[in-house]
Amino acid sequence: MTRRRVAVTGIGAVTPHGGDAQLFFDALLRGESAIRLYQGEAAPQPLAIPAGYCADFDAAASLGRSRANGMDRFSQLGATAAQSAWQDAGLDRDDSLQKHDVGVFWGTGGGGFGTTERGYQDLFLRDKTRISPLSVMFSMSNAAATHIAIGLGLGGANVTYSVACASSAIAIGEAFRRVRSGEAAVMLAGGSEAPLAYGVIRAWESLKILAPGDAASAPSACRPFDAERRGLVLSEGAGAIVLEDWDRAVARGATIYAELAGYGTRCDHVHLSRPDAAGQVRALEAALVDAGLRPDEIDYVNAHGTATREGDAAEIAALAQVFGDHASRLAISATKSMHGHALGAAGAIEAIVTILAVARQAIPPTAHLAELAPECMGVRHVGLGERDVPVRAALSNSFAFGGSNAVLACRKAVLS
Amino acid sequence: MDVYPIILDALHKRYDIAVESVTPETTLESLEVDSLGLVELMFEVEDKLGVPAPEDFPTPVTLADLVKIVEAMQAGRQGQRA
Repeated sequence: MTRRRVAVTGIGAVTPHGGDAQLFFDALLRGESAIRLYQGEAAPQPLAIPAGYCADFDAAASLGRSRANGMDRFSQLGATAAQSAWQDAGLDRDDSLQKHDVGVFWGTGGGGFGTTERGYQDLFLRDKTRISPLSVMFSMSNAAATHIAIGLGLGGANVTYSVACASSAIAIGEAFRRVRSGEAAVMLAGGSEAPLAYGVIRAWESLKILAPGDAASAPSACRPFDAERRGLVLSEGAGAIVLEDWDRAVARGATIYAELAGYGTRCDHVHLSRPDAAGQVRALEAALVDAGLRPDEIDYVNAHGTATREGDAAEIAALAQVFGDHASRLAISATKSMHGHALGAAGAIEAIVTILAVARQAIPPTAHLAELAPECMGVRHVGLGERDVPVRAALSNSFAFGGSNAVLACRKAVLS
Repeated sequence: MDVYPIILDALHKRYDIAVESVTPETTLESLEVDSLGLVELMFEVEDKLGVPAPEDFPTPVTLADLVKIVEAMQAGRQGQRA
């Protein structure tokens, strides 16, 4: 089967930094964290954790009040990011596009957490016997993908992947395969997550892997690869990209951010939560082979890097094994230090960061990296944003609970 | 409690409908309130008034029809109390 090349022709993001993907990348390059102390809305017991909350997000402004009111927050974030990506790609000006054949592959870890929580509040705290008749439609995990399809008029395959923290990386990878195989000319892919519901936060707290902090220390609470790292920071957000057949994108004169060149996904098959470097190695190698890239052609890796003790060490061990002699020159950063861990949306948000690193030839840093942990040594950690550096190709790692690892590979757009 | 303003408020909240632009004769169809939208609307009104909606009621065409149904809900509760 002839393989098509795959162009990234549209990007859209809603993150704690705001709703503009380029400004988001600018902030990351400057090392600016958007993590703040989060105290929740009407939490029944005092709550205060560092978190990435999209404080400026206004769903009524981006979607109209009527549409926004018909969705859970994870769908609002997703539909807004998808709308941005679609507009960015400029495909509505392309009369030759069969929108009925454009698919939406989306990722979310938990879907409508907030809706579920409100339903339980009504049932258990307010003694109601009936809850909102839209509870089912709001909370179902494929609601965001459906709202995106309705909003943009996209009638191709509509599939939602739920693979914990690799959800949206896998959604992008699977959409990439559809375009590469020629099955689809255009796909919209990404993911969204809105996990800052009281019960979800308490569940993560119970795992003892959330970084602590107060109002002053919250922005620097997430410190991947640091000797003093204390854990991850939950965040909400969404990322969406438009994948397009390369020749088609070139023919219509589209802006091509990067070529999505490869995708690998493998399961640790060892443990539900403890990461395993061997499984990560297999996913990394699969992505490189899939992309036809040698390890020494990779100039940057956007790490999964959540700032947990075990996770960071396993990831660096995997990178050291895969990249061998090249590892010491390989630029690595974990941008979760600034935008937090958006769970099912993380893969898409970080894919956008990786795509922009290639498009703009710039590498965002791992913020707050004061003292590199001995177990995280062996690669070139980027502590300050770098501009005007060659980034020929880059990887984005997403390693999920459940042991599912997904790696996306992108290459600088070179017309040929 | 006066029913009509409660319905207008719910319509404004959920559908962003300007209350000045509707009259009791406005149809739900023209406001793009479909059957599921009606169920959701009734749920909100129920919540506000503290009275349960009947399991079954004739499908209202206009806002005035809807007001009648909700008034019957209120009357039903008062009837139970008497």
